[in-house]
Amino acid sequence: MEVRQYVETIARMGARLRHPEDVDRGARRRAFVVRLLKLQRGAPTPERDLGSTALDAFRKQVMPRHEALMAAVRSGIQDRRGALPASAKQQICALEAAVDVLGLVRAPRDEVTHTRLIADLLGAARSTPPPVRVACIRALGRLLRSRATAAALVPAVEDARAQSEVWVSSERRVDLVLTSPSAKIFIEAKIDAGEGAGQLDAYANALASSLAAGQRGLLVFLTARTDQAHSTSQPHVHITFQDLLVSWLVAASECTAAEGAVLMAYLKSVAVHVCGVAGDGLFDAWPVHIQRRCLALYEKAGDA
Amino acid sequence: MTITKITDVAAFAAKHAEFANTILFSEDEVPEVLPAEREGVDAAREHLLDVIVALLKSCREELWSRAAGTQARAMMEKNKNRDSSIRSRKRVDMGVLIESSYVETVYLWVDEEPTRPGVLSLVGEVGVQSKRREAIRKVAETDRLKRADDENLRVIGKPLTEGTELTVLAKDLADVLWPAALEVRQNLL
Repeated sequence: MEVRQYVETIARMGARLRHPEDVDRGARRRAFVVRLLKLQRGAPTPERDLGSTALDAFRKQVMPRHEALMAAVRSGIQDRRGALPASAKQQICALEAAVDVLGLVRAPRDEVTHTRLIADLLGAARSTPPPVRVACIRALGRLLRSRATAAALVPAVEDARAQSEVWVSSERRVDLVLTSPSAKIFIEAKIDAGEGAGQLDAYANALASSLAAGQRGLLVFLTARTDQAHSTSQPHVHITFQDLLVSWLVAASECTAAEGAVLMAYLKSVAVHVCGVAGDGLFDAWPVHIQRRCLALYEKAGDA
Repeated sequence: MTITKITDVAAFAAKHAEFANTILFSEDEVPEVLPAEREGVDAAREHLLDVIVALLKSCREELWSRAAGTQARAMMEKNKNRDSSIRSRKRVDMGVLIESSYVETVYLWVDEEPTRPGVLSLVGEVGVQSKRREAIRKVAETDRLKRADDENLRVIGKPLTEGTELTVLAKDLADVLWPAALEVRQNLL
């Protein structure tokens, strides 16, 4: 039964019930309730009916013109790319040209490999050129300060030394630790997995007990998706790999191409395998939805 | 409404992966979709996600049934992904117990596969922790069991064509995926 038909039937029944010359109103009311109950069994579920009507509209209107719709989207992408600021266009060009290093070593989403590379770029590896280390650590500091709440104050990180996979107890190992005379920062990274039970709380306690005199601590949760954020009671800063990507693309643009080659190779892997905002080769060869995501990333950054 | 088969709308989306990923699964509004078409696109997205969740859960239940009576079964079920999580990621992750650790994981998802471009495919994969990769390297590839970029063992399901029972797709995938998961497990022990 259609929704309209159902409503009309109820309205007719109700109108009869209120008839002024009705001498047997009680019996009519009982009959009304019985009919109403019977009618209810065949009543349409509003959501389902609306859904199927809308699905029919999809079948009739959208499915036949899907190719034209995709052609319009592709054309829109060219316009949007053309409207980006020069710095964004340069960063997309850099992503096109970069080598996907973690794809090459067959560890595109391996957390340990990611955190080792991040630590290396922050100076754990002696081979990292100083301008790259400085640009990365400054960019990370700016990012953390932009995301910090009052409860999680960000200490200065610019002179910090980076180390990956640091054991903080007999059972717990933090992915990345930044240490300076005035600061200690624990960074826990998650790509596919979620946080282990009480993991952040345990790290916060380990961090608090490891601080030297004059050091301030900060716990950072670095995740692939925003929904991996956790409701720990401990003050912490939550950032995503996409935040890191945007921040470090700027850092890479501050270095020469030769200095920043390893950084760009890592960022290409993050963009392709973790954030889904880049593909193999040139922009025009990337899947359309990846192109749109990439443009949205820069458009949002521009709006901010 | 319980979904038991691949519907016409789901089959259409599966046959046009670029359209599905760009228009239906877009995280932001697609301005090229006309205002009059938006309700239909929204309904199609929700319907397609309903089908994908039903399909992935059907595959998961089939794998659970293959693991019946083993220690792995309880652990596979213990940390099962919620429907909302499956819906948002179009993916199921299932840790397979090795002693007390999720050293081995079975993944299920629906997306466009590099080896089958242009269409949405049902995919199953067996992976291990990076330091235990040797366990999957020992498993030989077959016509349907292939090594992915990260060396995980990957199976692509039958095409998602209209009218195909979800249980048929799930059984077909499990027939290849589960023996591989068991072989990897043996190599890990």
